[in-house]
Amino acid sequence: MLAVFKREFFSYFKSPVGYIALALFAFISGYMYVNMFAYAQANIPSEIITMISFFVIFVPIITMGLLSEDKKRGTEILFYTSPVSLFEVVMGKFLAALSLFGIMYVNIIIHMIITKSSSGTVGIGVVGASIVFFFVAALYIAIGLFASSLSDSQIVSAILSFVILLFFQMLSTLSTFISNGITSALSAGSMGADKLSAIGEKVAYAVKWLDPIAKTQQFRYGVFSVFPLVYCVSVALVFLYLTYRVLEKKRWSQK
Amino acid sequence: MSTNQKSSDKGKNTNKSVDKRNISLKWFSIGSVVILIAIVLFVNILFDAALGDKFVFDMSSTGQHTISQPTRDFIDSLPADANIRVVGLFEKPDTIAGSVLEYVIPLLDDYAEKSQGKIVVDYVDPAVNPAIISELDPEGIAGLEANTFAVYYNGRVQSVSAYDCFAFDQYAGYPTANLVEATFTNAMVTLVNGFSHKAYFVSGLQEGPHTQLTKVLSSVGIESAELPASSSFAVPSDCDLLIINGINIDITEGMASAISEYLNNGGDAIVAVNYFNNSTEQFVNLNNAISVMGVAIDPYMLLENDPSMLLNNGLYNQSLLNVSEPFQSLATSATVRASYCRVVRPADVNVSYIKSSPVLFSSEYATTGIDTTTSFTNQGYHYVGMYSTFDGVTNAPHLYVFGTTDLTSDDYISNFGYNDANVVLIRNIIRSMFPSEISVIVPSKPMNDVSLDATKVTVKSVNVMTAFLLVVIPLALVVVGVVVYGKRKNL
Repeated sequence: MLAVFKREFFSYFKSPVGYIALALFAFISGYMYVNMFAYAQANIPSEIITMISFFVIFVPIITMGLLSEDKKRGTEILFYTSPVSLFEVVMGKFLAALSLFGIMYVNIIIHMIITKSSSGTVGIGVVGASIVFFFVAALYIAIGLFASSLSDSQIVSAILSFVILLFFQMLSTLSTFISNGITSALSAGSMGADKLSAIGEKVAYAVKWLDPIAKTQQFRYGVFSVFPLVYCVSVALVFLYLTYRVLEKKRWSQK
Repeated sequence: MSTNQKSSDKGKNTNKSVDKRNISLKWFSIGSVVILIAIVLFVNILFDAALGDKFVFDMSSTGQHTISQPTRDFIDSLPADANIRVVGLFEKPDTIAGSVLEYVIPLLDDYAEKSQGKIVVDYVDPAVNPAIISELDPEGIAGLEANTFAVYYNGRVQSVSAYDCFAFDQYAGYPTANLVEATFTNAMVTLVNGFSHKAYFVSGLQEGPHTQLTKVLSSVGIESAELPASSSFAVPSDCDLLIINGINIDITEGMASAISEYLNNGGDAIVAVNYFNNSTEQFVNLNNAISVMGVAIDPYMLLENDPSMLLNNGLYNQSLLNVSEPFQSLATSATVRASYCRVVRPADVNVSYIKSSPVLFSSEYATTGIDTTTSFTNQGYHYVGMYSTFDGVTNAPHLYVFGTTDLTSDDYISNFGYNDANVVLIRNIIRSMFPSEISVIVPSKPMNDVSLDATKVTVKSVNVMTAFLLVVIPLALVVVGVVVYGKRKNL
């Protein structure tokens, strides 16, 4: 796994992809920080949480080539012939992408240093937001990796990854639409308004329950909850397993 | 059977065997994925339902879910048989994550837990039990309604809306301060002790809302009421503090007389106007009213020219103002921020018993003028806030006049929260005017502490940050990326 990890991690710095992703992250986070700084404010937890909403762009860039590039070049065969298990391949690539987020996080550390030197506070909320940063990154990378395993085209993988991540990102918004949709759809029947509203609310809650961002809102205030982290890790594991199964499929599929 | 036929049959058998194996692997794959998803869903639902609330750790420095020491001291001071009832007028929700109630319900649980029975919290849905509202508020004075909280003590009740327990950024809409504990504790304190003083806001002069300042007053035990501008304007006898906050048109001559009389008789007042809202208004009558205290508001705008005092490159005239020495004990910072300020100055009256002093002042490089012209002159120190009283007089009046509304406006307080230096200063000024108040000061809990030392955020430092964070770092990474691409593209 270490060999796969090293290969993937250093490959980010042997092509422009890693640098472009880092530069983009540095620019966006820097822009947000400078905007706050100009008003004598530095809300690092808010900056981190806002950067998480940009994962929908960063993650496809970083993960699009993880498996699709190997498929395209034919080097995918090495996964099956090398003395490493497929799951180690998947984990190696996953950890490499996650480590790149670690490098991106250096920007935030720079902002923290500037904040401290300007007598600002880097409190427990930063720790909370940082935990969310890495756990949500892990979840999204797992999704991106899965998307990358489905196609031999980096562009298709990136679009697929973007669509799935956008869906996850918009779960809270979607929950409202779904609730309203269900209520109006059922209102044609004979059900009472209270019951309709209750059904709509339950469905909306169920959809919103899947939203990792909504679950982790309190971390930025220093209020930690174990459940959202369990959720992120478990859903990430599901996508990593799905990726593993997609690779494993080649062993028995006739196509 | 020929040899060819035999090998063909063998091949078919092998293919069949491979097909069978493929199908079984396919179903294993699908089955394992379905089982894993089911397990993950089951574990998450179980964890959320059974342990989700238990594995929450409030490690915030401000304890968002924990009552603070002032509240605990207040609860301890209550007699053992005290019975404060907090009723949520809705069915207690199964989940509170993602709603404002996630800051309210756990905190109320903490009240109940630490009060040893003095505070009881329950939830009654008026849709299920309509009698609850008339039971708590038989005369309908508090205006209780569903989906709010009722705080009840000894036949008296106050209504608290969860949404009113936060200060919100006026533009982005996100919460800037958590006032849940402050709101509930203040409600309990006023129900137990009653309000100690009453403030009147002069209204009907195109002023902005003063919901936030009302909360600040409530937090120091002062009840608020409106005093509409009218031809028969008179300051009520129970007025302890008259507030003229952010008015955009001048008061009438009659009102000026009434206010002068109120001040001359030892009344306390706070006046805050700015330049932004109505730059052409001269406030002639208002100046006549406050001239009895030796203070006047100029029609000129203050322009700060000292780069070390400018915020945001001076955009929107945002700058720092110094808090003068006698008032620094009331402030948490030596400076406060303000924009579009009017100059406040001693009035041209020669009365020996008037004692006035500056509260807020500019740098020595500040100039004054009209914003539509470029000719700002009169460089030097200028006052933006002044305090005035009568020396050697019993029951002396106290008047604070500010040429900025950045201490008192809803816009400002909402944007910067209740722990901001400006807000703390105005709150402490009010407390200093009513030293005998019996309120319990529960500080608001900042959602996050975001303030920097404003003196370090100069035009130069902002420019350096912009260059370093937006140009140097990203550009360096792009250049390295291009170089790496150039070197490796032919490999």
